[in-house]
Parts: sequence; C-alpha cells; structure tokens
Amino acid sequence: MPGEARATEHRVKSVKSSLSFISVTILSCMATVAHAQDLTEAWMNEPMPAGFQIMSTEIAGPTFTDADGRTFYVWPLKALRAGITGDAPGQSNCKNEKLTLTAGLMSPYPPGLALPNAETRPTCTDIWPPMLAAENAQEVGNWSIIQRDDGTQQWGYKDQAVYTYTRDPAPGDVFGTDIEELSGSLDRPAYRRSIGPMPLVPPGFAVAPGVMGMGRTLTTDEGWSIYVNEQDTEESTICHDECTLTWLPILAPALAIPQGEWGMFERSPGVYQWTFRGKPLYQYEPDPKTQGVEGADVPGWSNVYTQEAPAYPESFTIQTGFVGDVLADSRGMTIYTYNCTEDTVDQLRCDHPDDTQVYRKAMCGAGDQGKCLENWPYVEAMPGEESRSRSWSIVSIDPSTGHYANPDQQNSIRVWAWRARPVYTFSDDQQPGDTYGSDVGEVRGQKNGLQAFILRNYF
Amino acid sequence: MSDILKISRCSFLIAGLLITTVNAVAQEDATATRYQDVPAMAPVDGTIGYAITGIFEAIYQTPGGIAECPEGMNLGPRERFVALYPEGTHRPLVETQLNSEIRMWHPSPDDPEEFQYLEAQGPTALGLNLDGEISPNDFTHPDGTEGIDNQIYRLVGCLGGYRGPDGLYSFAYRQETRRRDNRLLIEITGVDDLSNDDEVIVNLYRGRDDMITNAKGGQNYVAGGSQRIDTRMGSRTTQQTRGRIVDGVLTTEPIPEFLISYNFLNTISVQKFRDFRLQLRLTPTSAEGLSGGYVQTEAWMTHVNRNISSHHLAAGQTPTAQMNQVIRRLADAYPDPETGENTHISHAYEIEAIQVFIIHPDEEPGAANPN
Repeated sequence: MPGEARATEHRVKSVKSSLSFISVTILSCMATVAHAQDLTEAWMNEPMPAGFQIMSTEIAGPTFTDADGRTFYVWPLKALRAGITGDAPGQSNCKNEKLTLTAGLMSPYPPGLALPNAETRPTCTDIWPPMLAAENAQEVGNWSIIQRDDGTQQWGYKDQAVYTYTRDPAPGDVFGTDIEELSGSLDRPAYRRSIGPMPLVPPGFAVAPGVMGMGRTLTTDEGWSIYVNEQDTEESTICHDECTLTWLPILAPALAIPQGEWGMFERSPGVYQWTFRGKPLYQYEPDPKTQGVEGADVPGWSNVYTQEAPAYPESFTIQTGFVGDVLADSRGMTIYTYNCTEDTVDQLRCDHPDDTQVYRKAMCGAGDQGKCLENWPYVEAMPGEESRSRSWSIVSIDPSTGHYANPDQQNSIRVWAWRARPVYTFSDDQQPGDTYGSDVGEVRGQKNGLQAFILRNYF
Repeated sequence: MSDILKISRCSFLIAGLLITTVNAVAQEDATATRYQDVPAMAPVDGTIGYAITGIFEAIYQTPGGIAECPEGMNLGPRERFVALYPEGTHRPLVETQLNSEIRMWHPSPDDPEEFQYLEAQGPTALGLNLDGEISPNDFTHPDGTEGIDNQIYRLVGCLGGYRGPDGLYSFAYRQETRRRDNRLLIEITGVDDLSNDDEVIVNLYRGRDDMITNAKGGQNYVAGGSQRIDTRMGSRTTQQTRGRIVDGVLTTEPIPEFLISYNFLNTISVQKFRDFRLQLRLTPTSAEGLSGGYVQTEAWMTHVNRNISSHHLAAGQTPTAQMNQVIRRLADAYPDPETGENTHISHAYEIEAIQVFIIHPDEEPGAANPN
C-alpha cells in the first residue's frame, strides 16, 4: 500500500543518512541557536566579515544584515520574456546611471519607450546601495569581493553582489524582497531577494520560505510538508498502526542526538522518530503537492512553522475565496496589494508611495486618482488601531496624490500598509470571499496591478 | 486440380467470405450500438458522474478559415502598438503603453477604433438555440439545426489564439484541465436508462482531485477515477437542474444563474452565466457536446484581460481594447434597465468529459460505486 511503501522509503533514507548526520552533528555542535524571541528559527552560524550580523526577521527568518541591521539583498540573473537582467556571478549590474527608456524585457511592449518622470527617477544605486567593502577587506567563507565598474569594491555572497535597500525603514525590515520570487516564472519581474544563513535542521529537512500569509514551513529536503498532532507530547504519540499509513512517521537515524529544538523519542523498541519543539514529526501521505497544507485540514493536525507569519491587523478577517483563504477587512472584503516593476534593466519597483503614481493610477482609475479611490479604496485604520507586527503598519497617505503625507496634513488619511505599501479593497467585490479584483493589471497583476492577499491556496 | 481440392478451396473461400461478412456486420452492429442503440443500461444506483476534460469556446472552423474569416485574422496588440506608435517617433510610456492598458481595463464608449475588427462571417456556427426562436441574426448548426445563439463566436472566430487545434488558448485551456481547481463535475442521478430517460437530475459540482491518466500521463485521462466534491470553495459554483436523455443525448433545462470558476495561467476567474444548459452525448465512459448560455460581457472581458493578460494576449493576437467595443455591439441579452444596453452575450462551449465516481462528503472513499 502506498503508505507502507513511503514508510519503508523513509526508514531506508533515515538509515542512509546516519553517517552523513554524524559529520553534520559534529559541525552543528559549533553552531549556536540564537533566539531573539520565542518561535524564531535557529540557524547555522558561518564566518562573516567584521560588522556583519544575523538577525531574526519577521518575513525572511534569519537574515544577514550590516552592523546597523540593514538587510542584505542579492539580485540573481533572471530570464524574462524578452531578455535577461540582474547580476551575473561576480558582477554588479546595478549602476549609478539615470535610465530614461524602457528595456522591453517584459513583453509585449517594445524597448525605447520614454519613462515617466525621467528627470526625477532614482538610479539603481539610489534605491539599492551596494554594500561596499573597504580597501583592505579580506574575503571570508562565502563572502567575496567584487570589483565594480566605478573602481569601488562590493561585498558578494556566494558570488552574488550584495546590496541594502534604502526603503527598509528600520533594522530587521525586509521590505525589498518578493516573498514568492522563487517561482521563476518568465512573467515575474527580476526581484531582489534577502539572504541568510542555512537553517539549523538535520539532513533530510529544509525550511520553505513564507508565502504571503503563511509562515516559514518545515519540510523534508524534497519539499513535502511536515505535520504534528496537538495531542502528541515529546515522548508519546497517538498515531500508531493504521494511522501510520496516512501519517508517515519521520524516523531518526540510530546515531542521532538531540540538539536545541530537535529531539527524538522511541516510538517502538529501537525505532526513533524525530521531534521538533517537543512534537513528533509526520508527513501526510495524501498531500497532493510539495509544501502542501491539506494535512492541516484534519482535526488535530497542523503544519510545522519554524516561524509564524507576521501578525495581520486585529480587525482583519479571513474569508474563503474560490481557491482558498484570503485576508479581508473587518467587513469581509478581500484585501489587495499593489505590485509594480518598471520594464527597465534595473527593474526598479514602482509600487511605493514615494514612486511616481502614474502606473498605479492607470490601473486603478484610468489615470484618475478620484476613480482610483472609488474603484480601489484604501483600507483605513480605525481610531486607536495599532499594528501587531512590523510588516503591517499604519501610514498617512494624501488621498489626492497617493503619496505619503505628513500625519498633520489636513486631508491625510491613516491607512493600513503591508511592507510600507498601502493595501486596498475592490468596489466590485460584493460579498466575503469575492476576489474579482485579483490579478488585475499587466501580466496578471505581477508587473503593474493588484493581487488578492491569499493566505492559503488549496490548489 | 482435383475436384476435392477445388471443393476444399471453394469451401475455404466461402467460409472466409462468411467470416468476413459476419465480422463486418458485427463491427457495424458495434458502431450502431455505440451511438444509436446504447444498451438499455442503468448505472448502478441510477447515478453516473463525469469530470470535464475539455472546455473551450465552440468555434466553427473551415480549412484555412476561408469561409468565416475571408479577410484573414485580426491584428493583435503587438501589431497594433507598432502601427500606432512606430519606432523612431517620440513614444512616452504614459501615452503609449499605459494608454493601451487603460483601454483594456477601463474601456469607454468614446474610445476610437483605429482598426477594422474582423468578425466571424457566415451563417454557420456551433452552439444551441437558447431562446427557442429562429432570428435573422442566428446561426445554423452544421447539422442543420437553426436558431443557434452564439454571438461570442462572431467576436472570437477570427482571433488566432482561439482557433484550434494549435491556437494558443485553444490548446492551453484544455491543458489547464489538469489543474485540480479546474475540476468541473457533472453528476446525473435518477438514470433508469442511459439511452432514453424522460427525467434525470443533473448536479454540477467542483471537484478537488487529480485525474487518473494512462501511462503517458498529461491529458491522457482514463475513466474510472474518483473525485471528491469541493464543498468548501466550490459551494458557490454548485448547481442543480433537470434534464432528459433522448437517444443517448442529455439535454438539461437552463440554470438561471451559474458561475464557472476556471484557473488559467495561475489566475482564477469567474464567468457569470445566465440560462446555462448542457447538451451532451453520453456513454458509460465519456460525454461530449456543448454548453449554451448567456455570459456576462463584463465578466467575460475581465476574464480574458486578467487570465490571458498582456503577453499572452499579444501572442494570441487578441486585441481586447477593441474587443471591449465590439462585444457591446454583439451582446444580445439582458438589457440594463437604466441604459437599455445588453449586458450578456450568447455563448457556447465545446465540452469533453470522462466518467468518474463522484464522492460526496458523507461517503466513505471507495464505496461510491463497485463498478
């Protein structure tokens, strides 16, 4: 039966991994488990240049930063519909040059279109300053030194040039990354992504990055989700016999030893099962895809998150849409984010209130900010509301322009923002769960458009 | 040759002829059985289920499109952009690219139509007679049925992306039936006879499981799989209607309001139909035929803009900016009470389906049908 075959496969794999885990165990003895707060993710330390550090961040988990807590990003080469951009290994394509024309990388529009507000458009390095290395800096571990065209030196991590993001408001913020950038689709812009150390997990395990409203998920190294049962303890489990055909115990090799949040318990004589944070670990045999969540629909079972998603505003609700759970406002109306990237070599984003608003206004109101307010109203914060996380914030917006406003400005409104960018509802949504505004815009909302805040896609 | 040999040879010849004749008759009988004389077979418990494996706009095509598209295919967004904003001229992004997008997403009756739109021509189209009438604007089905209501065909019949078998959307939409969130189920209950039955109940559900295929995988579906009903996210697309089966063809009564959610290119859109009905030829392992109904024009255009979107609209030469105008002219049902403008357009899908066992939430897996 499939369950038995998968269970056998697991046992074989766990035996084979014994030897490799011995060596990793030795190495991991050198690692430290640093917790800024409960339920943050442990990581494997690695040598870093002086002044660099690792911070636990809300969105990306353990992340490399500079001494002031500014998150590090890289910009790997990415293929788009009509070309490639980003940083090749050992090089930086992010320059202090004013761009005035489109590059035509993102189809179907040709290159050579005159960018809006070209006079005031920032350069790539204005938004993504390179993490410069001192003249006498020495390479260490995965950290290398890259020569820039202007003669300066830039740090590189695993051969990728490293940057900070001027729009990360505070230490530990990771507002410059795209959470779903790993999709690799030709239609998705060439996003930057944050970098961090390897998670502290035994061989055979991995951590999947959080996607929108989901936290960082513990998986097997092949991507299959891992689950725990609420009734289980560190030394007992309710799942035996036939239960193990559906819930596959993840067995530990005989030579494994407990470390940090990882342990094992003897589920039957001589048979040990991995535990994490005091719970025995299982796979859900019927999970139809990697990073699945179907097991969490079974009462008593849940995915394992090494780190929960940032807490959304207390007044927000969760509604069921056509593909899964969506985040909604207090009335049940779906929340939408606005995404925009310019079709340029530097792929600067154009979805921040400090950016030109022509792209957003084209999509939300045919160029008319008044129609934007009708079609896509801001989600105004209620009096006294406060955010429960850094990634969600309340910002002041000038509704006549869409730019940030001084809180004392007479016509400013206080609106909810995700990663410093306002969120919206859609006027054509009539009832809770409606997502008629999702993927509206260029390239299904990925290049210049709006997307529903999907917490969980069941498919 | 001896007489015995001659007789033997003759006997063999006669026997061979007889065998051949019997086989020919048997094959003919089998064919007749398959399509004209389906065995009076009642499914177990009078219930049979199907999962849709192909659903796409019903496009009548002649070789090379000569009959229905005598002036060729429509220019797509890329060709139009180059014509409107040629290289070498000053091309501000706002007045070119964003203007093109605005016309897609925020159409205005005052938008100019710079190009001739090529509608499908001729009297012939696939589809159903939705209103029971034969009007001057109606089509005639290739089988001779008059009064066919399928004005969406005029809109898309001369768009490269819609024409099969290799039109971009034509094959891609069928490919997307592999997705679990595109699992559309048809359950027919009260079936006394799969070839003729005066009254059956037809339930439309959304499923949630992968389809079984043969060893080739992909879209090589095989009958006999199981499909659980998606009661959570599919509740709004669940509907019931009545139907009758005549000579193996199921015809349902119209469903006044029906939603179809469909994921194309990782975007899910919802089509809003009125008077939606099915006409399917049924066998114990498959079903095929047509759907008919009036689709809301705004929802249909939004679906095309959203799901197919910029790049693929260009690849399929589908100029939605102008289509916004044309669909308004072609719309033929449900006038807006304030403006008098029709809000829906007659529409037909070609549908293919394969038999599955539909599992209701209160049933144990595997117990639905021992066949």
